[in-house]
Amino acid sequence: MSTWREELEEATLEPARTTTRNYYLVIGVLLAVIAWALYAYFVQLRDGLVVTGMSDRISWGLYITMFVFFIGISHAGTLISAILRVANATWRTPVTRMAEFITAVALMTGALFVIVDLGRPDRFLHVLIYGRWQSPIVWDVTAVTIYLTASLLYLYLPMIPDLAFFRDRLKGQVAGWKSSLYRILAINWKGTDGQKQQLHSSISIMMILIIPIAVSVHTVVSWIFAMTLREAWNSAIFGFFFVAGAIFSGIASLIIMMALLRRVYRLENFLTLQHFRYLGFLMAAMAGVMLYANISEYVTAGFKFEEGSEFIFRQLFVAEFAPYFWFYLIGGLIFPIVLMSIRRMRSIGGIVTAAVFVAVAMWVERYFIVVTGLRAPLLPYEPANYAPTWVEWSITAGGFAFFALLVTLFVKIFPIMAVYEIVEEREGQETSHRAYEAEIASSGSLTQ
Amino acid sequence: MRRSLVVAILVGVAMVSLSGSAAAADLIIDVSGPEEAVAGEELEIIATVRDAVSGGPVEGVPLVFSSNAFFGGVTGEIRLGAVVSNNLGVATYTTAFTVRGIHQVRVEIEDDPETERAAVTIGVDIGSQIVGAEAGISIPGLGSWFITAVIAAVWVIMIVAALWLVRVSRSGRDDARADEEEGPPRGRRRRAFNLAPIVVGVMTVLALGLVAVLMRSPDTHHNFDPEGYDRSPVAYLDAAYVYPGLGLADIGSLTGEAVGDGRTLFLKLGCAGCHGLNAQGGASAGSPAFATRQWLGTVARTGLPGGMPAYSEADLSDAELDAIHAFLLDARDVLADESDRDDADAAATTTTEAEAASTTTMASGGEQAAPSFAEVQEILQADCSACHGAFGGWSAADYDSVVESGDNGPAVIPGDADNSLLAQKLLGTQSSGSVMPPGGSLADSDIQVIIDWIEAGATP
Amino acid sequence: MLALMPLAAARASMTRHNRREFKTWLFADGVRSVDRRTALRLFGVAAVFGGVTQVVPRTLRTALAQTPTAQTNELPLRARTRQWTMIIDLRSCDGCQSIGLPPQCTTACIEGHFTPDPMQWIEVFEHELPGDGTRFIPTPCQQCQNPPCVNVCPVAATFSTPEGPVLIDQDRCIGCRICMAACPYDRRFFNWGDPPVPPEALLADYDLELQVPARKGTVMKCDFCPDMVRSGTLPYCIQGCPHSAIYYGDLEEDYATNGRELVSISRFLANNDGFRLKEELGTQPRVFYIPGHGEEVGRDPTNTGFLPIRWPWTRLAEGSARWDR
Repeated sequence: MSTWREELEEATLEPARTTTRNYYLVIGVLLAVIAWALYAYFVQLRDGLVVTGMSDRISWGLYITMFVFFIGISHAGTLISAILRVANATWRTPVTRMAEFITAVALMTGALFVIVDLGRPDRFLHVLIYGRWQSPIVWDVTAVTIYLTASLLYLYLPMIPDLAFFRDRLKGQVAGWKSSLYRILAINWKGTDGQKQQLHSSISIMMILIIPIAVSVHTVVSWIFAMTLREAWNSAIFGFFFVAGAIFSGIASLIIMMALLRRVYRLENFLTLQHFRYLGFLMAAMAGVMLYANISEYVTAGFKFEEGSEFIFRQLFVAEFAPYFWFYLIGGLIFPIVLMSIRRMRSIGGIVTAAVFVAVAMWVERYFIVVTGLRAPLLPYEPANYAPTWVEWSITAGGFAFFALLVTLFVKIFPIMAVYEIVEEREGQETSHRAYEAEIASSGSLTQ
Repeated sequence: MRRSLVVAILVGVAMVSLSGSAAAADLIIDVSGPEEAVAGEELEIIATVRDAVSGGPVEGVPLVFSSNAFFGGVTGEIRLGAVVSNNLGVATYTTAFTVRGIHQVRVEIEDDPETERAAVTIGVDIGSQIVGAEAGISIPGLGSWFITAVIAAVWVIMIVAALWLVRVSRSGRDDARADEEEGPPRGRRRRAFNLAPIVVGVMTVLALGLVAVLMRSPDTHHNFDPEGYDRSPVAYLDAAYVYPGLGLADIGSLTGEAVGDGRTLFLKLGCAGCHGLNAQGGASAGSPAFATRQWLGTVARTGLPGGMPAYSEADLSDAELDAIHAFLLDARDVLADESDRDDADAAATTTTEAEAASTTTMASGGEQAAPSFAEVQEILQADCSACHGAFGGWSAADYDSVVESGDNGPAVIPGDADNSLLAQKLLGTQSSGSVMPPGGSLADSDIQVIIDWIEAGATP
Repeated sequence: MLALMPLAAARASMTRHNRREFKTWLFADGVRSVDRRTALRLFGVAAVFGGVTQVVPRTLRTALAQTPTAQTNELPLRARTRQWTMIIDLRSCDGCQSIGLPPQCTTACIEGHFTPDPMQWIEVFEHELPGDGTRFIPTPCQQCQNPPCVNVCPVAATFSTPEGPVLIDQDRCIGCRICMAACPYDRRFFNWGDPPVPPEALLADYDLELQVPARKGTVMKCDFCPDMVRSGTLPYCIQGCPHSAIYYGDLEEDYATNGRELVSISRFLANNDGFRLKEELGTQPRVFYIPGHGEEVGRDPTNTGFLPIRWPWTRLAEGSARWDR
């Protein structure tokens, strides 16, 4: 047993064992924000959506922005956990747990925002009772339900050995309900070879299945827009564009989450600069993909300037939405690429800064996609303007607070590091390294 | 040379004039067509033009075919088309009739009112749907089964992955039990709560639920399928339907008191939609408040073209009409009071002349200055446009129609009120038709305003 | 569970030895040799699964299908349904400039349906003409035959009827507003708050052909007044137009009327170069237009502007909300 393993285990057990006062403070603040958001939603239920800034002409706003944004963030888990696992990228192991959890929580928050946006939320069951499979919204409900189930399963499966580890090590050190919870969730995990093989099979199925599910989820979310005849949305590459944006914003939110937890729970030895660098490069690569997608759309449309394009280009490039668009382009797409290209700037601080820019820029991008698409007039009338009200901002803040609250609670209850996987991967490396050395020693030379 | 040129010109002129007069020579048109046909079936109507004197065919005569029609309470003549007669004097017009009934097709020569028209009658039977519009794409074989299969396959694979969990938990429990030496297995088992089957169970329920949702969904992309997803009554040709009205009041709440009951009926039967909640009139129809009981009965039973429905005895009894009339009488007083208020309110949207007119209308007629058309229009809008708007005949809509329109020539002769049909009808001295409004209910002062206006030259 | 039964049966029938081979073969540890029985069992599973996904959805679909919620009319022998259509003769439309009032088609519709402020189910838009001047185009719901709104609705709250008009069931609408994003003519309106309607309207029996009273949180639009036209009464907008510019007709019967005169639809449109709005989108609307700019009623195209619409309800409906479009 090497000391680094003891360190890892202690670092993982610590949050579940002890709770600082700061923790309760954070929970308190988040609950207060959520309470205010609930009051704002009550006002909205009582008076109707007239309390928001939406109107007939711009009938979707902040709520749909938040919905698309959070569904987008949920792709973090899929990329890190599934794609990197399939590619057998071993550096992913300390990061997987957080990534998988972000997926599940972001999906739940995003789904809530759709219900908040409904004019008749009391009738949301109608989608299940009277659903039409031809409708993009039903595709969305189906895909998000499948993805939520799959991601919860995919979060749970690799966590079983760690939960067993918690069950064994935290007996008597934590509250009774926690002990029972660990015991139930660990489903008699004993670490036998048979169990390991079975779990490995199960995870293998899920890791392959969850990739097409995740791609389909954000594709159908984009098709809620792309299946309409609005000039700005009527694009064939919307599916691809949104999936790329989702992965992009997912990586950024993962970097931010990692940096926070690393600082709070002193995980410096496990979440190293190298991890941030790898994720930073991935983020820069996705920024390149997004740039390519944006160029494809705007150059092909701008070259021809069909009827209606002039208004869209004007409002986006030079007029009302220019600040948003250029911030997104420069701060969100070009800045990460530049930062990752300069060796000196590739520090954790620099990378986290880039991630923050990316996250904000992607939120802004979702916002102006929704609003500028609806703003272009379909007939000769003056374009309307959209200004969110306090109700919308409150509920938006509540959404972010809900997301943060769930993460904070998770950190307290469940193992934040995938101890079993990290150990397995590290020991596997050591074993193969020792075998290699032994081979060299026995043969006496490198060639045979 | 010069002489031959003059002769040529004279001969040419003579030929032209003679040929012109040849066209004006008497012609006889014969027309024939099938006696019976089915709606939608193409048929030929053959018209032959021959010279009345010689009996020979005449070429190059433009013949116009027209037919009678009735739709939405409006009757009229439809010009079907024009065909020029060929060298045999025959003009064939191919058409299809879309409505069941007796159709009379009339043939006449274009721009020649002197030649007698010929007609043929064709009886058209019901036939089948002609316009059957399709909507959207219908790919044979692609239905909800496809998406259901995909979704079901994904869920099955996930449930299989979850089933491995059951094996993990079971093998762990087997090993644990193998290690134990004492303790009743049953007691142990009760305490150990196995999560894995519950996970599988929840996922299965979710899967079945989603699949059921997808398979229950209707095919509303097929738009003309009454059996599939019809939620509304369908309007068929040749079927008679009663106008249901807006149902704004509960018919069961009739109390026996005339004015209240009248109001209830007025709201229930849909009168309020066009005539306003308080019978004040609106854009679709004017105020009926000043109608007599007799006029109300006539209009309600027969309807008016273009909008006013006809109510039969079964749908609207005479007693109910009495109640409605009582309500209208009551509404008259309310309207008189309100028109004062509304005149002030309406300052923003009416023209300034109308504003001035509203104050002068309140004063009695016989001022020094001649009344303007705006004042006249005020009266006409209030009392005449209920019927004389979109329903045909003389229209009170604007200046031109007030002066020019109508079936009996110009209604207003500027400067001459005695011979203006408008004034005659108001005074009861008209040469045709009955006094207007029915029952002669226009106020004397208002009639005076109109007469003064006409006498002053009927300026717009 | 039905789909799992074949899998479970296959598994149960295998011996422990076969099961291991099955598992290793299946889960990508390199292709091992598989005995014939296992392979046959696998094919059997796949065949049963394929058959199940073909047959079961169809039978379950028939069993689970939604039943129509209203009575369907008995179909008379060889009956033909109406195919409603509207023709707007722009040569006669001047935005009601000549009578000095707001557009009367819109006003009549508002009065008849107690339409909440600020909805204009038929709305007059002023389009610019090439050269100098404008023309007015009254735009009701186009009642498309390939309606984008029907295609995207998740709960089938909006649907096409056999006679053509697209209706909305406000008892089913969940207010998601994807139909409003999908409509290319901007003809759908949302009740953002408690809609301002007169108190009498609240007594009406709601019917999806009347849309009275309006419901908070649902979508509304022009419906071609199906309750009126069935009985031969013309819609409010046709009745309200002072120049009789709007015709309402039946494509099946090929006649249309504006309340005063009768036309044959096919000939009227052909002889006067009828057109539809945004034809290139493929929505196949049922509203036709005859090009013009109000010249028949004496309008000069450079005479722009029309008066703003007024709703009487805001005064009558106390405590209701009002919102901007």
